[in-house]
Amino acid sequence: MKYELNVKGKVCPMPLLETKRKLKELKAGDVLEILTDYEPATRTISLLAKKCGYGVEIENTAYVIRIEVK
Amino acid sequence: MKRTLPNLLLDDETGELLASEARFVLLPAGFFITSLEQIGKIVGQAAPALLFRIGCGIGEEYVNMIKRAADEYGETLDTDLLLLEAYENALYQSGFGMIRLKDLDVEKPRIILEVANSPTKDEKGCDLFRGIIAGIATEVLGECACNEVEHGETCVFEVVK
Repeated sequence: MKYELNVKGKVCPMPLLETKRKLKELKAGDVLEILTDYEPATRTISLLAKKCGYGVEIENTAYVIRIEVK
Repeated sequence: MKRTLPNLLLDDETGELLASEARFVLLPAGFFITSLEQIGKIVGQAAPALLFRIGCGIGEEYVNMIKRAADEYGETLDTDLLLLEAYENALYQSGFGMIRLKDLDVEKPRIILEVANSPTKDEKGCDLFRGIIAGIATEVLGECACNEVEHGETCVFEVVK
C-alpha cells in the first residue's frame, strides 16, 4: 500500500520525527512518500530509512522521498 | 535562493518569534560579528577561550532544543540522527552556512564537518563556531574537543573525545 506524508512548511526536527512515527504504522511492501520543501530533511530521513534497512529514493526537484518497507 | 523558516510566527501580543514552537531572535549577521569583536576588545587574550565556552553553551542548547521537540512529540532520536539534525539542519536553518557531516563515527567518536559560508569564517581560529560544534558533540557523546583542521572559504572541523 502507498502512503503519503506531507511535511511541507515544517523544519527541523519535525519532518524526521513525523516520518519516524509514520514508519511504525507500515508493513512490509508498503511505500511511504514524503513531501517536503526542506532540503536538509532529505538527508536525515534517508539516514533514518537506511538504518531501518529500507530502500530510499529522492526526487530532487520537489523533494519527494519514497521509502519502501522491506 | 528560497524562502526558509516557512512557519516562522510572530505573536503579535507577546512579540515572540517562534519556529517549530522554539523561540528565535533574528539578528543581522553584522550584529553577531560586532558582538564577537567587542568581546575580543574587552577581554583580549582570554577571548578565544571565552568564545569557545559561549559556543559550547549554544551547541548544547541546539541539541536540547531538538531533544525537547522529540520528547514533546513522543519520539527519541538515535545518536547519529541527533547529530545529523543538529549539525546539518539546526545550524543550517539558523543561517550558519552550509554544513556537511563528512564523517561520523559515534563509537570512536570522531566527527568531520565541512562548513562553508559561516558568518564567523573571518574570525581568527573560528573559536565561537568551534565551540558550537564541540558543544553539540559534548551534549550527545560526552565531553568532546573540536579542532579546526582547515581554514578558508570552507572550513573543516574535527571532533574527538
